[in-house]
Amino acid sequence: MGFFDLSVPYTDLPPPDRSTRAKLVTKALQLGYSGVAYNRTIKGVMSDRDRCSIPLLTLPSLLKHSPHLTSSVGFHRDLLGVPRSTPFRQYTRLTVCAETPAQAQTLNSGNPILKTYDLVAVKPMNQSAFDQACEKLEVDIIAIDFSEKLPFRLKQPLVKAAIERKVYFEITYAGLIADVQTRRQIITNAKLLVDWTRGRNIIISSAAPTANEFRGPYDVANLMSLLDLSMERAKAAISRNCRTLISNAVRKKHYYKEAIRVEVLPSGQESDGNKPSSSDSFNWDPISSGEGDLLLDDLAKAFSNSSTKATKTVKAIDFASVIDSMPSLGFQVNDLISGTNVVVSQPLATQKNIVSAPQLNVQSVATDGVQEQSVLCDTMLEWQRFRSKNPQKLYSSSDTTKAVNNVIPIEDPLITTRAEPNSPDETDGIATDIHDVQSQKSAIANAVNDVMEIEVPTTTGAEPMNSAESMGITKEIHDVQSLKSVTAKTFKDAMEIEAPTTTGAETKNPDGIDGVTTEILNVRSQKSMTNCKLNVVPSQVNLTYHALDIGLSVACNPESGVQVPTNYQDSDIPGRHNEEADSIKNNDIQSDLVDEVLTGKEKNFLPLDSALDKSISEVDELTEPGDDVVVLANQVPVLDSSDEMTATDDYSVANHETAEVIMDEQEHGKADIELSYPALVQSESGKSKAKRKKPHQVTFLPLKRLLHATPFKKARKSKRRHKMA
Amino acid sequence: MVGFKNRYMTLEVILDPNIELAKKDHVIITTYNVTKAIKDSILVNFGECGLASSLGSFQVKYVNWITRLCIIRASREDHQKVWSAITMVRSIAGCPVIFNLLDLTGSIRACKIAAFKCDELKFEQYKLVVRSNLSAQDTQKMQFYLHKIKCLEH
Repeated sequence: MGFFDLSVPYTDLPPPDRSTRAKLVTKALQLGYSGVAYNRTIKGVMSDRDRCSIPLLTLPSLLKHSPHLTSSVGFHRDLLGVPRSTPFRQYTRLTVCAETPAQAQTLNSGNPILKTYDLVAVKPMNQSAFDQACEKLEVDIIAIDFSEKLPFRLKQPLVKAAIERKVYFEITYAGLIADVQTRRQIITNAKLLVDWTRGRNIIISSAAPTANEFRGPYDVANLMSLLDLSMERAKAAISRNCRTLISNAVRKKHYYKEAIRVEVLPSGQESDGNKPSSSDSFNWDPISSGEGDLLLDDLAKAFSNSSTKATKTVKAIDFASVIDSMPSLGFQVNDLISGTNVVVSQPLATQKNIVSAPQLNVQSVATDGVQEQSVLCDTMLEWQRFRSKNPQKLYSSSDTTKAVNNVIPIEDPLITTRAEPNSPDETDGIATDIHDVQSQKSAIANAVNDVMEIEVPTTTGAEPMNSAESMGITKEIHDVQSLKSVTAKTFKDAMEIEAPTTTGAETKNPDGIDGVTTEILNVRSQKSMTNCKLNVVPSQVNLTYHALDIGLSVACNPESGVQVPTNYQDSDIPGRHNEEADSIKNNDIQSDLVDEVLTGKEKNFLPLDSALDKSISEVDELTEPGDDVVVLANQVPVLDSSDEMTATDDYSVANHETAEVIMDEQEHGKADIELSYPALVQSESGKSKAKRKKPHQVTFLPLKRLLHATPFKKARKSKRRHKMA
Repeated sequence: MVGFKNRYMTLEVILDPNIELAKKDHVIITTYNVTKAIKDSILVNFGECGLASSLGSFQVKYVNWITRLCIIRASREDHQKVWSAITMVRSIAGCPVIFNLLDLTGSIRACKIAAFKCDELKFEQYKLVVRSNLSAQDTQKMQFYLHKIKCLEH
């Protein structure tokens, strides 16, 4: 579990100030933190000028301040128990000082300016603003300045309401260290907060003006004992709570961002650091930041020569990079998912890596090389998954030149590795695959077909396959999105190829289906996998496609944790999904995402489904072979969701167009392939019919999703909006 | 059985975190320096009584100025207070510092093992930084310090 400092002050001042920030971040990195958030404070009315323009720091700039960063980072991370290869994530945060109710009203979910930041915080200045913040405003954090006499009272019912709404209270500790008078005030005021909240829903951050007031994670936790906060809660406040917060915020952001991404080249913000992340919910996933710093090895490498390259990849703001980053998010999720599923690797092994190489590339494309690297390192397993999925992705990636660029470097290694039997080498293979994949992106187009076949590993291990496939699929989705240009055809090919491989009905199914919808599923109990398998069996191709679609759809609905839910509700699938979700929970943030997916944002899922039209058709196919409830469930949704279909229609169109959407979907959708089926089915009322006939559709779906991603997202968005409203 | 329990903290001192002073202006940390800085901090934050009650067991047992490592002992009841006070130390003899806790153990034996390992790792880092300027003297001193850790007693 990493440690985060979510309040590094940022001002728009000229360069002299930037070095302070860089030094601070260097210190944070050295002391073992896994992520920081740059905080920008604004008062008064928000204008368009306030859009996020915080430049993220790059590795070279940090290395300038401390040339021997790698060794000290590694040393501290080992001591803290944080894995050395955890990427260092950067987020952007906005703090709005709310004085009047009118100002407070602007902090709702519809505000476009807020969406450009990863995290949103409110700083109430009076009682009414505080009341609103606790009860109504849609913010992530309530930041109260404890260093002066509080202008309002912290009332118990308000605080309780805020906790129930999952809003976090922030305590900053730089004042404790800097000045004696401030220390007095902070302890007096913050103690009240800790009393009322009983230590829950609190995050601790530094707000340090210079590096002198910065402290290590455990030191900070101990400082909180002065406020009567128990050590256990304090440690949670700087690690677990932050991570949850980030993963939620990232997920929310992506949801909206999906729409944005689809339309225009998104700025590089959405990349998740987090991983959990983001697909890590943080995060991993979750952690969405344009720059997931390089892992320690990368640090060394970057330091040596590739600094420029790293910079480029990190700061890439163009669409390609964004898209690329998407996969990384996806990876993270996969990582989470795959983490538990070692089996996944198996599929890869079977695959023969043909597919893997190009596919991985697609996935690995995660755009920024840096990011990818970090992702790669983190989740070897996931890579494997991706590999399985890659076949599909390759198609997409091939199309997009951009993806190719990113992918190319990574692909090469991957390809080579893929060949090897995966299961034991999963992690290695994956990583290599990833590299290969990336490099191969360019070559993917051709390879896609081949890859598809390979990917659809018929792996005996159903589970592994699933995870692999799902991973692959999710990956593909991402790639697709990024690639945009991915043609349906290639997608189809991919699907087809995948399908065959999935012949291993039981084993494969999960992959095909799972791969797409949720890697998470893989992680989840095998049971869920089996379900998928059944479905997959009938039409392997379809399954893969479905999986992809589902994944896509799932991904599409970032918010809707459980996309399929509505449909599934009828069936016992939801229950199943929950189980699956649980299994996934093992992973980090990703699992969170998955859970959400599973649990229930059903409506959201449906919109995605439309995009998944193909998947739906495939779902149908899938359902045939399997008696799984899931299958049935899928079918049911198809019949039901008429309105969803409309939404889906958009998606289907979007699928072709937006790889991004897919990527999003993947992240989210991974949770439930099964869930996705219903959605898919529904959305594809028109298309599905045609597609159903095609067994290859499953494999095709992944790409299709990407193509249709855009419309899909839109639909979802409206759906979601509607839901949220 | 020993009724009186202690806590041994292994800390590293990070000098000049904001990189304001030139390298040569860095203060050399000694047992006396560190003790004085921490006692002042306890006095300011916890008052006379706080200082008096924690002074019974408080002792800086080992300081290595090359690797900037120190071992501090405190009683089990007061170790959190002392630790907070240490965290709030801002400067030693005019040079801004950050104390960072590396390890917290209950017995001197465990502390020796952990400190030995940390010291070695930190010396490797020091060698990286200094590179060619590494003098034989420093190496010798390190050997001396490592030996000193081994001889620590409660």
